Amino acid sequence: MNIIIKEIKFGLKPFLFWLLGLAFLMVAGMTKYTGIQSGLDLDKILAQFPRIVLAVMGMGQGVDFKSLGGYYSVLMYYAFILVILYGIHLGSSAVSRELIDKTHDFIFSKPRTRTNILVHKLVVGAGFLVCFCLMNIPFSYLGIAILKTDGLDTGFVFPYTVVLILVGLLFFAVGAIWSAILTKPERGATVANVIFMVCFITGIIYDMSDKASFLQNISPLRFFETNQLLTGNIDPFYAARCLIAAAILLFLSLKIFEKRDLPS
Amino acid sequence: MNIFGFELKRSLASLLGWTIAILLGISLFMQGMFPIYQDSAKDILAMIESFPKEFLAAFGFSKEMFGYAGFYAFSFTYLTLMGVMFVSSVTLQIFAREKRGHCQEFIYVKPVTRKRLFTEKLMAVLTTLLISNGLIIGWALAVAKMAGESNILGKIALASFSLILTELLFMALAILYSIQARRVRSISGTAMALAFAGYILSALSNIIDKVEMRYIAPFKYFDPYSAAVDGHFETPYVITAAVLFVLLMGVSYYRFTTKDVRE
Repeated sequence: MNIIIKEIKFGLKPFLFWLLGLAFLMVAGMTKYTGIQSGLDLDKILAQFPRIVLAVMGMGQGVDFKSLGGYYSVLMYYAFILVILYGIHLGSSAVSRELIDKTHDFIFSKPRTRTNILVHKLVVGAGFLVCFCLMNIPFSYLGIAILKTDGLDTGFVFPYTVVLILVGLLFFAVGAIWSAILTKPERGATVANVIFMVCFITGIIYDMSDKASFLQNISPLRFFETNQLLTGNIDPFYAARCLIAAAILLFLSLKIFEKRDLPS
Repeated sequence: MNIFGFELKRSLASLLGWTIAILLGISLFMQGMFPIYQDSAKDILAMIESFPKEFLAAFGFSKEMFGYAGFYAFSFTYLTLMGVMFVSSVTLQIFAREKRGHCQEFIYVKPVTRKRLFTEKLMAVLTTLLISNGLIIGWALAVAKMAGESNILGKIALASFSLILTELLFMALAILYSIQARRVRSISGTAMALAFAGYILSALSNIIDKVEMRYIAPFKYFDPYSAAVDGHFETPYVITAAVLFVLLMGVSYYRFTTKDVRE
C-alpha cells in the first residue's frame, strides 16, 4: 500500500498538468464548430478527392469535418498524441524513475520482491492513464455543451474514449519494456519516443498515399478508422491486438526487470 | 572555450541525426509526395471551379494551396516539429547537464564566472542551430531548383528561414525550463512534450482561426505559409515572438547567474 500511496503522490502533479492540456484541447477546440450547411452533399464530393489532397486540407480520412462527429474526430487525433506521450512517460517512469533519481538502492532493499514493487508502480501508472482517458468524457461533453447543439448524436464520445485507453496502454507498455531492457535508465523513454515518432510519420504517409494501406498495421494512430468509430463501432481485431500486445509487453517487462542488474 | 568545445562535441550526434532526418523529410515531402499531389491537384482545380464561393471559403480553398509553395508550407509544419524536438533536446542536454549528473558544484567551482558559463553554453546551442539550418536552407533551395521552381527561390528561402526563428524561441523556453525545473528526468520526453504542445497549438489555431489563438501558437509566429506564398512574415506575430524571446532569455540569464545551487 505504501508504494501505491507514494506513487500516486509523485504522479499527481504531472497528471493534473497533462489533464489541463486535454481540457484546453477539447474545450477550446470545440468552441469553433459551427456546423455549416452548404447545401451540397459533402460526403459525395469528398469521396472524389484523392487522399493526398484531403490530407493537406486536414481531413486525413475523408471525413467531413463540418459535421459534429467529423470535427470531433479531428480534435481526437490530437488527444491521441497527448495520451500516447503521457502513456510513454508513465510507462517508462514506472520502471526507471528510481534509477534516474538514484534512489533504487533504497526502494529495492525493502522487504518486497522487485516484481511486487514494479507491479504496484505499473498499476498506479496504468490507473493514471485510464483516469486521464476517462476525463475525456466530461471534457468532451463540456465542449459539446458550450456549442448548444441539442439533439445531435454524441454517442461517438464513448467508443473514442475506449480507443484512447487501448492505444494509450499500448504505448504505456512500450515505454515500460524499453526502460526495462535498456541499462541506461533514460534510454527507455527515448526509444519509446522514437517509436512513436515513426508511428506518427507512417500515419501521415498512410493518409497521403493511395498505395500504402498496409501502413495502417504499424501506425497505432490509424488503427481505428474514423468512420467506424463515429458509428459507434470499435474494430475488434485492432482492439484485441492492442490489449494482447500491451499485456505481453508488460509481462515481459516484469520478467526482464526481475533479472537485470541495477546500476549502483 | 573549454565548455563550448565540450558541449559542441557532445551535441554532434544529435546535430547529425536530426539534421539528416529533416533533410530526408524535405526530400520525402517535396520530391516524393509533391509530384503525386500536383497531379491530383489538377483534377481538383477543374472540379472546384464549379463550386459556390461560400463552400470554397469554408474549406479554406485557394489556388496557392495547390502550388509548390503551398505544399512546402504544409510540409513545413512537420519539419518545424522535428526542428523543435532537435533544439529542445540539445538545449536541455546542454543546460541541464550538471543538474542531471548531480555535479553542479563541480562546474560552479571552476574558475569561470557564471556569465561566462551561460554564454559558452548558449554559443554551443547557437552553433548547432546555425550549422543545421544552413544545411536545411541549402537543401530546400536545391530541391526547389531541381523541381524547376527557380522563380520562387527567395520565398522558399524565407519560409525555410522561419525554422531557425521558431527554434530560437523554443531554445529560450528550454533554457528557462532546464534552469527552473527541480529535476530534468527525461530529455526526450520533455522535448517531445514541448514540440507537440507547439504542434497541437498551431493545429488548433488553424482549426479555430481566431486572432487570439494565433498569439499562443508559437509555430505560427513565423508562418511558413505567408512566407512561401506572400513572401513576408506578419509583423504583429514577429513582435510577439521577439518580446517573448527577450523576456525568456533575460529571466534565464538572471536566474542562471544568481540562483542558489540546490542538490
